[in-house]
Amino acid sequence: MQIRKDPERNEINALLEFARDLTGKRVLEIGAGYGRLTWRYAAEAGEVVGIDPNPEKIARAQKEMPKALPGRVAMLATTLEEYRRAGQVRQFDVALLSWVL
Amino acid sequence: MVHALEMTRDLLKRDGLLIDIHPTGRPPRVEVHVGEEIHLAGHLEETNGFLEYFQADDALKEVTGRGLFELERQGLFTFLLHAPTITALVDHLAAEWLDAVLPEETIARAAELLGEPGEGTAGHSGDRPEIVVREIIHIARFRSSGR
Repeated sequence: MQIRKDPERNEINALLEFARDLTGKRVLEIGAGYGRLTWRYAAEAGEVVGIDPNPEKIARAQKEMPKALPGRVAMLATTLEEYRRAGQVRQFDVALLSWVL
Repeated sequence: MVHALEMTRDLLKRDGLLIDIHPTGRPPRVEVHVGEEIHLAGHLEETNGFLEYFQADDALKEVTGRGLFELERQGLFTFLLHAPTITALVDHLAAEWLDAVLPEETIARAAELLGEPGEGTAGHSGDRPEIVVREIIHIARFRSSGR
């Protein structure tokens, strides 16, 4: 048996309640890791960009991305500073700081 | 942390939402679940004493105080991590929670509750025991403001 994280879905339920309605929204997830939380809400959102400075985690996320999500979800190995410096400004409806502060 | 919040604000549309999820800094409980019974084995510690979580709270207070974000709602939820054995939990912590410390007395108590000398044997089905790390997490919604 493996480690199971939040099978009770307390985290995703709290997120969806706090985000209210992600339908059609552009979401930036900072600290997306290997997509553990991303996969749970991405189907609700219009578009998701997940960033994480750890390339191994992002490689795993890209490999394990659910089949329905490519095209709507991009997982990028980058820092917040690098991503912002690339000129990506004022384009997201929601920013999610996922266990990173 | 304040700089990260400032950068995040730059990436948000006007009136965009920031949702922050981070632990409260209360040491997570390490429990052994046997059927319907829940036994406390101890608590998980962190080498930095959970300092970064309190710093996160301070950073959020600073940016709201400066009018960069407006706090709309906050609350708590419980995050449970289930491990079938002590070894599985220790390996997981070593791989993904690098500053976590599982005290020896907690390991010994968990092993005792699991009924095995230092090793659990079970899965999560039926009455088989499992280890559960119970963490209290803070979630808050902020709205970008001041521009």
